[in-house]
Amino acid sequence: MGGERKLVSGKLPELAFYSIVVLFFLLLVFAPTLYIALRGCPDSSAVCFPQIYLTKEMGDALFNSFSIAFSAVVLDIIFGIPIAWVIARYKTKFKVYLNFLVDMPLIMPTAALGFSVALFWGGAGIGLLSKGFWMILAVHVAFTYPYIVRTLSAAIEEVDITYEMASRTLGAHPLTAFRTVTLPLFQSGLLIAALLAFTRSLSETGATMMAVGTGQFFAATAPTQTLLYKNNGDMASAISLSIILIAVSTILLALVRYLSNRFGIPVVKVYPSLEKSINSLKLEKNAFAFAFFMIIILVPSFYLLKFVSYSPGEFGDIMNAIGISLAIAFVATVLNLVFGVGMALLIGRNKFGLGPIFEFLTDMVMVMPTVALGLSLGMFWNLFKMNELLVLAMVHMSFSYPYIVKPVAASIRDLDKNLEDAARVLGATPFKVFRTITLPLIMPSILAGAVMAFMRSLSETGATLAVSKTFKTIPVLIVGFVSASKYGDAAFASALLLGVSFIAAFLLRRK
Amino acid sequence: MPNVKVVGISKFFGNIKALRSINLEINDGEYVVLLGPSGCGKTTLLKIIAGMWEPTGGKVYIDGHDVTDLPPEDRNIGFVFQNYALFPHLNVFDNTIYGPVVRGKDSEESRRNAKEMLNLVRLAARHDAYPLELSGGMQQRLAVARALTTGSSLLFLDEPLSALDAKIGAELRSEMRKMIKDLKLTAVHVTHNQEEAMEVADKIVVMRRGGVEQVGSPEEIYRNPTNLFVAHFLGDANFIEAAASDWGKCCKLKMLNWEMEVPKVKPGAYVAVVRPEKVEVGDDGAEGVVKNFRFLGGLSYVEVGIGGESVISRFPSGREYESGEKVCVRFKPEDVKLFKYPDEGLKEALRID
Repeated sequence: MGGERKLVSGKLPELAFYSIVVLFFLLLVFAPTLYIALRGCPDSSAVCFPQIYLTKEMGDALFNSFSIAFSAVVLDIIFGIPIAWVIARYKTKFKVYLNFLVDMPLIMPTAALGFSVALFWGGAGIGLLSKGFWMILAVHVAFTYPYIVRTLSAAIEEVDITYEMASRTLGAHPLTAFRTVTLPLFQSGLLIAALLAFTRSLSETGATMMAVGTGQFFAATAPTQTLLYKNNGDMASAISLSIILIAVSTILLALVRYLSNRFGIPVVKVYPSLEKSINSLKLEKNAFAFAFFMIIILVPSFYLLKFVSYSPGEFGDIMNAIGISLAIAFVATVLNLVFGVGMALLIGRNKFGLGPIFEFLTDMVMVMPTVALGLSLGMFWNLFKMNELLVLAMVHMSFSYPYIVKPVAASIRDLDKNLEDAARVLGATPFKVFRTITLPLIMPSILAGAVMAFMRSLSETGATLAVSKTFKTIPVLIVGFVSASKYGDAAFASALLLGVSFIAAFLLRRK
Repeated sequence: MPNVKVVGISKFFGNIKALRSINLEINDGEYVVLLGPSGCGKTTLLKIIAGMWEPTGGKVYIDGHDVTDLPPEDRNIGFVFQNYALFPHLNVFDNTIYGPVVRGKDSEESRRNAKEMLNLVRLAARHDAYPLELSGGMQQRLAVARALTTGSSLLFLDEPLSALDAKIGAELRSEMRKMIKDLKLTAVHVTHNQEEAMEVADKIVVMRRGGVEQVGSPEEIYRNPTNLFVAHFLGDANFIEAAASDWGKCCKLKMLNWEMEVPKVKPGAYVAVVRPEKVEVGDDGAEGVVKNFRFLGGLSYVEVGIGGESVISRFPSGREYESGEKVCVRFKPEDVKLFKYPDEGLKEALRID
């Protein structure tokens, strides 16, 4: 048919456009992150395969990382589902506030958040925990929780409420209906939420540094251990541990993707009377989850505001660091907006059948521990003797890239293709269609992605530490203050960073 | 044995009054259809009876028990949803047995029961298929089977056939009625399709704008509509403006360019309602000109313009007409239903939404 031909016209410009998008991704985002696997000789510029080995020290760090990530995710899910449920299903004003409250820790840069949580639980606060495993766990639960709740509430919202109603009319109590119908239907969302939170926990550096014991300040989790090796000049060990982390993350990602389609929650047994009695506790259960959220997540996250003290000596450094942080986040976000939206189109529309491949590669970048990523990118870009600030921007661009691509790709996928076809039939060129139809419709997710990417960049510590020599971003500065026991300044800088994040998020969202 | 009683049920969504104090009785073994245009409140009423929504005021009784505050799972009902809401992660058999399972009654007997039910709806051969692999008609039958396997003898159906092709829907509705009658169930069925309502219902409840307009058997409602809207919504009708004047024992009814005698009514302005099959086209009566003629298979249809109005006649095919042909139309006084001319105007009185 003539119409069909017309709609596929303009092949060449399209091909050129996507080639640029793909090249950008492969050369500037993806390849540098894997460079570490080729560059095994730390002291020569020759290319050779790295030696991979595992010392007991590294093994301990890996074990710590995994047990903390696992425990944090389990706690998040147990206490996150009720809140996610309320956000997704209740149609009250309360829901709007709750949504906002849950998002608040996301705005908080992780180093500041970790510092705040450590203050809350430690001697300066309620004195329940001392630095070490439990403190790290408390910190990790706090910053991964919003990821779980957000992803879960979105997944629950996608499950048609009619299924639950159908289950209820067939005699199921609300809890039974949830367990046998809703839960199996959003289990892939649950798995993805868990993966996201797990890898975020696995890769977090700045927040962890606030919670590990002082005696072994850097030596607790795998990312902090990597940084310790790097700072001590033991590049071979740093590279080896990084490669192990990258490999493990990639395997986890592949496993989850494989499982998400096959793994089923069985409906074998139902205990009507037991579930009914649990269900009658509904209000109490929700109240408990809400109390958990307030006491474990929200209050500790912002506890540091109590300690803010101002010392004029550090003010210049703080302002300087904030300036650097903002500049890097801005450059990284703008670059990603330009090239990431193209990639999102490619994935969302599955152009040339390349969608799934690039989706996986983008996911790979997302789950990769940022320390390893930073180490790799730093080595790669230093090959070209680039300006350190520029290298920092490139590093930040890499790890924040998926945060723009993923939401935009999802919203493009949800977009009704008929709308674009209708515009073409009405006489619009492909570019016009994109500008007048597609772009306005995906704008909300582009903005949301930009906010996420900007925030991630602003709050990232590990990747920055893995690269920086002289320049200090604000999270790095906060880590420095804490290690020098300048708590008042750390709190002041954190509060300032929080304020800046808040304003940035607000401005971006308003647009 | 299930019977349903609805007393003074109202439902407000903010300022919108979706239901205005509805009273309704559904007897044991009765097949009741709630019929009305979309937005009339029929689905709202059904969902309140089933316990999915809470009424703003009023009471619902099932078997004489006040169930107004009971959640749906405690009302012992079967419900067929508009888009079926078949659980996509469970196969045909697991969907069917879901009710007994979640009630903790997953026994040999209930499994046998579920199999019988699948036999009844001709799906036994597809017991391990998933809902998305079934055709629309099969999905609909599965939804009915699933609702019935709970053992409830009270079945609610929310637009159960509207998602199907017209032909399949028409086939299924007679099958569905037969099954419901064979199993001696009480059924409440919501639809906006008057043909479907006429075919399946023992009793039709015509609704409009959150209120009940008329309750009765299909024949009663078709032959004796209590107002213009019901006459308009159920079946086709001619609405002819008329004026009655006193004339001794009879009345003279003036309409079109014609007069007829009718039994005594108060003099005044009226609307005469005449079903198209009662309009004869011939040589005497109101004179007019053929505006449109259509052959519809067994029946034909002719529209005759008389002055500014037009009258439609439907008759067994045979005679054909040409546009512009001069003809006369007539009908018998006993086929005319007279309604007082509505204060809000004829158009408003007939408006569907």
